[in-house]
Amino acid sequence: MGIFDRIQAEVEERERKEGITPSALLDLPPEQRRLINHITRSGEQTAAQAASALDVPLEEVQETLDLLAEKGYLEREKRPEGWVYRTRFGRKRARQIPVGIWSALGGKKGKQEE
Amino acid sequence: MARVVSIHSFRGGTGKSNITANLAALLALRGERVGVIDTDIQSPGIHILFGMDEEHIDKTLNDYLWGQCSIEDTAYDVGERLGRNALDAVGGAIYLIPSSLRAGEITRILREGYDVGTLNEGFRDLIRELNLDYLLIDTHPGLNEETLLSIAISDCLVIVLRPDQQDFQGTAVTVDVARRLDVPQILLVVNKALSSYDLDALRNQVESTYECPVAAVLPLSEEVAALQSADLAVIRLPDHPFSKGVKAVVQAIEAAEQE
Repeated sequence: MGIFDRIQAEVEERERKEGITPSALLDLPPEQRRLINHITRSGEQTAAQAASALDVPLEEVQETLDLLAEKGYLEREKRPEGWVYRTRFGRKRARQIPVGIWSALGGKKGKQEE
Repeated sequence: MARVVSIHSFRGGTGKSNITANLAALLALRGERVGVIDTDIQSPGIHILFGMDEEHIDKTLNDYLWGQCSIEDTAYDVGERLGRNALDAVGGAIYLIPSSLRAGEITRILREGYDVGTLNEGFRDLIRELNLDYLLIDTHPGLNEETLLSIAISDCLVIVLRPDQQDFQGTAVTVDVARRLDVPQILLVVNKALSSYDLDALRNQVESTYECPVAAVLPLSEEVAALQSADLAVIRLPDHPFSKGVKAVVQAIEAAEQE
C-alpha cells in the first residue's frame, strides 16, 4: 500500500470512529446528503419510512443507508419494526490556536479575580 | 409535532437575539409551549432580554454538554417576563436554556470542543421533556459546527440581515447552505431598515435576489433601541412597527405549519 492509500485509509478509519460533523454533511454526494438530512431532521427513520418520505425506491435507500452506516455516519438499532437509523455526529474538535493562548487567558482571568 | 426554528445571521449585530426573544414571546402568548436555546456559546446574550443575569443562572447548556446534568435541568421558566396571567389564560409557556456567562467556561468549550451528537440529543430531549410546540435556536453568527447542526435539524430557518452589502453577501452563503441541507422553510427578515428607504422596494429586491420570501422588513428604531435589550418590544411596544413586523414573522412560520 502506497503512502497516499495509507493516509486515505487512516482518514476513513478516523471518520468511521468519529461519526460525521455537520460541516461534512455539505460535502456528501447529493443522494447521500438528502437521505442523511432527512434522517437528521426526523431524529430516526427506518428504510421504509425514508423511502416513502423521499419518494425513492426502497432498494436504493437501503443501499445508501448501508453505505452511510459503513462510513460510520449512521448508527442503527434493531427494533420490532426493523432496523432504525440515526445520524451519528462526531465531536467538535477544539480550536486549533497557538499553544500558550489558553494559559495566557487563564493568567489574565486569574489576575482580574485577585 | 414540535417545530424547530433556527434564527441565524451571517454577521453579528443584526438583532438576531432580539428578534428570537420577541418571536418566542409572541408564540407563547398565542398558547404555544416554546423553548429558546442559546447556542451562541462563544458570546451568549439572549438571557438579558428575559431579565436573567448570572445570579439567576445555575446550570447552563455548557454543563449539559459536559455531561454534568440533563438538558431539562438547564431550562428556566421565563414566563414572568410575559405576564404569568396572560400566559396562563392561553395555556402558553416559555423556557430559556442559557449558555454560560463565565469566561472560564466559555474558553473551556473553545479549548476542549464538545460532542455535537450530545447537542443534537439535547434538542430532542428538550422537545420531549418540556412537551414543546416550538424550539427556537438562537445561533452564533456565521457558520460553524453548531450553527450548521442547528440549520440541519431545523424545520424553518429565519435569516436576519441588515440592508448592508456585507450582510447581503453573507446571506447568500447561508441561503446556499440551507438549501444544501434541505431546510423545508427559509424566511428572510430584513432588520434595521432606515426610515428613508422604500420598504416595499427593499423587500422586492431581497426576495428576487435570494428567491426566498421576506417575512418582514423591520425598521431601525430608536424606541426599540432604547429598551437596551432589557425588555421585549412586543410586550412594551405592542403597536410599534417592529412588533407588528415580528408578528408577521410568526404568521409566516405558522402558515408553513398549516400547509
